[in-house]
Amino acid sequence: MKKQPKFLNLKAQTILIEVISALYIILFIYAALSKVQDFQKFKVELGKSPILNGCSNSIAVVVPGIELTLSVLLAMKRFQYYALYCSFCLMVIFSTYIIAILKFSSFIPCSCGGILQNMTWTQHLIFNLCFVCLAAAGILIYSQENKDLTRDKKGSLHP
Amino acid sequence: MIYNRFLILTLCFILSVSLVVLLYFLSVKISHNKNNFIRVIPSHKIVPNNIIDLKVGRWYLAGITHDSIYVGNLYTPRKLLKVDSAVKDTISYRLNFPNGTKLTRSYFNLIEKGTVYTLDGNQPILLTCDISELSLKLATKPPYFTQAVNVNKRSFVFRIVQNGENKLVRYRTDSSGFKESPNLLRKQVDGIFSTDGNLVAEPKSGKVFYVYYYRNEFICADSNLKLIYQGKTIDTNSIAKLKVAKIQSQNQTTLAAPPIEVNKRVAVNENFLFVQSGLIADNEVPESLESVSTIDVYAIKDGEYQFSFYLPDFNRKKLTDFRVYGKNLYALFDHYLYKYRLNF
Repeated sequence: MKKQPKFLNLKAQTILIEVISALYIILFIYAALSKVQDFQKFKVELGKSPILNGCSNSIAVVVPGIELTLSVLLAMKRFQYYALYCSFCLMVIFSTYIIAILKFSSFIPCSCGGILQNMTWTQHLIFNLCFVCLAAAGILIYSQENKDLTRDKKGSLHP
Repeated sequence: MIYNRFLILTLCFILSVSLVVLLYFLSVKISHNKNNFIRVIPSHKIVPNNIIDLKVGRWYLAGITHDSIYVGNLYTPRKLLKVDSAVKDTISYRLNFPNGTKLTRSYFNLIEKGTVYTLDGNQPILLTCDISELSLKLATKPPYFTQAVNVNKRSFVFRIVQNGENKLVRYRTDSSGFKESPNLLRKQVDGIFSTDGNLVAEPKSGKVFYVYYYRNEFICADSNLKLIYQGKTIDTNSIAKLKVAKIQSQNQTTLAAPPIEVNKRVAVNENFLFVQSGLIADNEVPESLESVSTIDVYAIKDGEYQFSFYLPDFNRKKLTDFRVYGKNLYALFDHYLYKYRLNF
């Protein structure tokens, strides 16, 4: 098998991946909590979406659920690599959804909570795409050695 | 190995995108089903005449006289453009407000019969002056309102909210308060959303029209708000298809699902009522409606449907406002003002 080219040494690589995961964890937990905190409002706002009108009720539960699950998985070294793939997918879905709303929908509903609410849809899209790139970068630099690292009780990583 | 990851990432990307695309197409299907009505679409009912670029900014039509069109700015209350009726030249005006005037985002300017009115239903406030002066003065304080049309020199018809319901009332600028009258609007689901609509007035006769957004109905009343007749638009949505929900944490009532908009915008001249429809007829193809706005024409005397015509998007901009004055139709496509001649 071809040996994976190494862009960075293990330490730098690990730090980068941990930072990316941490950013994702903060984003997901923040986003999920702001949805759950006023769940009824979130559900109503989601129902207004011209794209989701058939299944907004189940999506209202599933989305924060996935966000919370992923943030847990990202924190566990064993699943981190695969969780990055899932995060990548989720962010791509969100971004595509924003594009679909901006481009093809006759009216634009608002269903984000917290600070995300204050962003315009275009800012929101750029923000999302940054996260998409982060996840992709994290996946591409993830080496086998990094996968084999384990986290001790204090949270630091060891081979 | 790195190529494998690229491949998987690309695959993930494609899968995620197609999931949303799938959702999108499923939802489009729902909104494009049969509506059980037919449009008559004769050709050459309108003839393009001239067009002018108002440059950047969001605009709305504030008033039309026989020789000019007044265009207001959605973000700057002071700004007023006068376009000549040939739609060739613009003159920029700057309105002066009394000291300390603060307008909320619900302000708008009306120019009617040589008088400028600046209204803001949230404060509420009514400013007025002659168009030659451009220095507005405070008139008597009107009641709170959500829509307003001028019916003659001294009176307006307001849409107000009373006991959680929309209501049309007549207001005279030389009196305080409004004249109590029976409510012309009939509620269906709730008092606010189901009776939401567009209020327009025909300046010559003073007739007032209210066209509901979400059902196939409109009202024609005289300037004293006495009902003349109740008309029907051509589609079959006699009951507003609305889902209303309450968000307890904000004590707010809002729509819980995308509403089915039947009638979007309205304009009127001496003989006809022009209604921009949001629905597709059974003899139309969805693809052909993507870059046009459909206008249905009704006779004012009895509310009967006449025919329809299309206003195509201009430079990929959708219709944002339109008005009819005599045989001229003025349409705003974002910052382009387009003049059409009517052939009827």
